[in-house]
Amino acid sequence: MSPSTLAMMLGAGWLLVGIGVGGLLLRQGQPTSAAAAAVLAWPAMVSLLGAESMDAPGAGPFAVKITAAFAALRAALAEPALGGVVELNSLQGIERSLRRADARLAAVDRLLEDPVVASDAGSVRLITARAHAADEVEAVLRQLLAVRVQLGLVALAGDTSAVRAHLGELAARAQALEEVTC
Amino acid sequence: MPLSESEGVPAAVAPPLVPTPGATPSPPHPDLSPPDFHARPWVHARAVGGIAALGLAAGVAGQAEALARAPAGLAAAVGVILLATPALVVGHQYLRMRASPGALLSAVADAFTRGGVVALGVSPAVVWLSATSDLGPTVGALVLFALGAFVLLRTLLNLVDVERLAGGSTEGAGTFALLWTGLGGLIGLRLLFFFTF
Amino acid sequence: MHLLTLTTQVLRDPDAVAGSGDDHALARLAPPLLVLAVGGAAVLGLAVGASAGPLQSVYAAVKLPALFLVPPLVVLPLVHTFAEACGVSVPWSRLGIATLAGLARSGLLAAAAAPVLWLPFSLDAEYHLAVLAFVATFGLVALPALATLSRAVPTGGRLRWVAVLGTLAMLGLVTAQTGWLLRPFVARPAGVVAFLRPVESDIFSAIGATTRSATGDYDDDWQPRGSGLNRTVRE
Repeated sequence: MSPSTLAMMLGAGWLLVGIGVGGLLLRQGQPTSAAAAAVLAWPAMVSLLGAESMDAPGAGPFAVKITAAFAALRAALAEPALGGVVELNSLQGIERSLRRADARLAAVDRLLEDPVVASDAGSVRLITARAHAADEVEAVLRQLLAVRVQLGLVALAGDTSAVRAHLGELAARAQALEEVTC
Repeated sequence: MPLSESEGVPAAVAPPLVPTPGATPSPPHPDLSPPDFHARPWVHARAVGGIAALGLAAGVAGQAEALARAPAGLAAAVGVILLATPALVVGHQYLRMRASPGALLSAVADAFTRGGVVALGVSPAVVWLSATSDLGPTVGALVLFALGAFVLLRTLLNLVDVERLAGGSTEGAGTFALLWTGLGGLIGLRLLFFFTF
Repeated sequence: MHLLTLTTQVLRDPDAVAGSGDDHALARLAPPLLVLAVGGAAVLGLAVGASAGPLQSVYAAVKLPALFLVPPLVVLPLVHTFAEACGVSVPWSRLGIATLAGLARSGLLAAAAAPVLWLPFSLDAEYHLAVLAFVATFGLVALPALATLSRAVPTGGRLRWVAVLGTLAMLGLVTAQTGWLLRPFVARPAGVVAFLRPVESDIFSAIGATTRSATGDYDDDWQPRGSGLNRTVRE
């Protein structure tokens, strides 16, 4: 065996496993960048295997809007003048709640596609609850847009308290989505 | 989750051996955290697999002698449990301590299970060392000794815990547990040498 | 996340980045964190290999990221299982993101230390001093990564000190052996520039031989020989 062959073998083995993990992540719908990172750092990323993708096929009617809204908000927060205004954790909690609500809407929609369920007398209540939940999700998404506007004011005036307060209210409202009742 | 139905000991929340996604449970009183004695069978299987994996990891460079000794750790662990736990139960009951035999056995099983899980976690590092050097068998043996010490230490704490939860005296239980874990350690060492050389 | 913003956050408050550890955060932050870690380590490698010319610089720039990444990633399962055995539950995603955040921080510090190391190297510093300076720099920039990872594990649990000591010992062992496997980083003055040297024995037997040589004991005929899988294939 040549001098470098052992190290090359181990390196190739590491990369092969990484490519396998990256491929599986891609199939799951994880971002391409995450799959590429997994080629090198797969031991740190194995927890993504089987995890829910951000744009999972089972995602509901608001999945694209949620992704776009948070991408825009994070891009705004990436501005140097606005760095540190908001903690990542507060956004993630809101996003998580919204995606869960969106997934529940998708489940209800699939249920209502069944003509037997749709024709049942109880389905009226289900449709009303579904509409109410969808309205709540839309309201939170509109508020996220309002937060982006407020960030512009922060950039000028430097007062972050209003933004933090607004996000606090949004977090509570998003949390309440978990408890939407008929 | 009660330790034993027959003991009438109030249920205590035990930290699960397997982490629950998104949850980080913590005992109300860390010093009195009761061992998780009702782990699911697959947790025990993972622990057994871990000790076996450690032995194989140490011999991954294909050294025949090292591979032949791969099951030594597992055999020693099983041997300690089989040889030493009867003495634990008999001595405990003879000294009229309060914990039940079931609780004692669970305490020992819990400690060995935790050690086995750690063995599984350390196996990748031992594989790496074994594949890139001749340190595999040496490191494997050192890790096994260190894990053995961890398991015995954890057993000692568990035995004191079950006695305290049963309303008994911790001083007497501590002394007895110390003597028993010392005996278990000596038996383990003897078995390890027996299976290795 | 914008790379510059992440750089600032990783340097000022790595725990905030590490604490955002759910699977979505891991998928989103892993790529830029990896870029920072690998890039910073590569910059240090360029400086470390400078004494032996541009080729050695390139070789070291390729290998040093591996020395940064491989040991903590290989030891990560041990961190998780030891925490579990001590009664502390920590999600794998949190450990993963904390490791990458720590490595990114170390990579950035390594890039900052590179010019400081390059100066003496470019002036043909004495070989053994150069090696010591490299090892010391590596150790210093690696400490923040360890700190970030250790803070990611929740407090509590029993026999925690056993977990910490055991993990540190194994990490040190794996790092030392990985460094030995990937050598040379600092080329000998009269040596041939090579990407890798043959896998000979292990770092501890080499240290033993060097120590004996340093005390004037040259009688022991220590000869490097193939080890690990290399020896198996040769035999």
